[in-house]
Amino acid sequence: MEKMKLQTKIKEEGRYIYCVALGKEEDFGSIGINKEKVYTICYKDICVVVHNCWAKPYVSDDPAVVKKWVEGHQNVIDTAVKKFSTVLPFGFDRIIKAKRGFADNVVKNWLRQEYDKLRRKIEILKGKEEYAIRIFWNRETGANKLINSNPKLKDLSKKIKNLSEGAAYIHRKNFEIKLKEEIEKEADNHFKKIYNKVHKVSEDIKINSIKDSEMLAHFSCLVNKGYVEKLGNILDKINKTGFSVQFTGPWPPYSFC
Amino acid sequence: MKKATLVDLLNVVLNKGLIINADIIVCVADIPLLAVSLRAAIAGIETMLEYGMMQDWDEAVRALGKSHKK
Repeated sequence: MEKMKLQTKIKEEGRYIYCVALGKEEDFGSIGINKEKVYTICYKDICVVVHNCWAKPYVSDDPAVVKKWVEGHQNVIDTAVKKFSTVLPFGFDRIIKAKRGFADNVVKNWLRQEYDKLRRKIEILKGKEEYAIRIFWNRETGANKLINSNPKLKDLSKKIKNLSEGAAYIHRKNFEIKLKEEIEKEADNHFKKIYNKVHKVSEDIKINSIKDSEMLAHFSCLVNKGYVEKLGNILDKINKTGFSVQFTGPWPPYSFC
Repeated sequence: MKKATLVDLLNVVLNKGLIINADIIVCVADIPLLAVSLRAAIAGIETMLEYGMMQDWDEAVRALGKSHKK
């Protein structure tokens, strides 16, 4: 009885939205976050993959719970990709809110307003996949190579070895500054070369921020399915020439919607 | 799920995806905090993996989960 009273008091409802796709009415069953029933809301030839929820976000300070939710989100999108091929994925925890009983209309209304834009995006992204690429470069190894190949640095390094402790200190400081400059120039050159190589086989590249000091580059690449093997070969070569390559994918085009 | 895949999954689902107009979306002001605490947790997991302390971490997280269910 208490529960019923509570439910009649709640004036808003939500639709958790997973992705947009070219598709019709579908019922995917209980594959959603927290095993919610997933289905589609349609307008013309496009649809949104949703589950019903309260009009408030999924929030928890337990990382294990959030990890489960996020994996649940991606599982639904994977299912949608298998069914519809091209999808425009939403990020985690996007919930459309509406007055109770009106949520489906709000979703359809949004599809109607955005129809042309969404249709165009789907066309552009057909047959393409996103890959996340991280390239690591050990700056210490790079520094040693640089000292041996750069005459100025090589001379400075020899000079320091022959000086007394005190005299060596200042020269060493200058040397370190100079070395750091040269390393960053080198890193920059490597980045540009790698970017160009990857760009040749990609439709689009987004450059992501880097927090790791060993990381040289972090890209999100949109690649035509037919070019994925070429990308793999290029990354393989890069991996064998003094860099370490880590990549994941294919992802639906989160970065290119 | 492999660690590298989880890190990239978090990057895309927490930072990217199709944009939708704010007036029909539920406010997700808490989400950046969510991302920060989850990234800290993931970083913690990575460190634990390096030092072979994964088991301790799992137990600590499960204990945390239990205390919140109260």
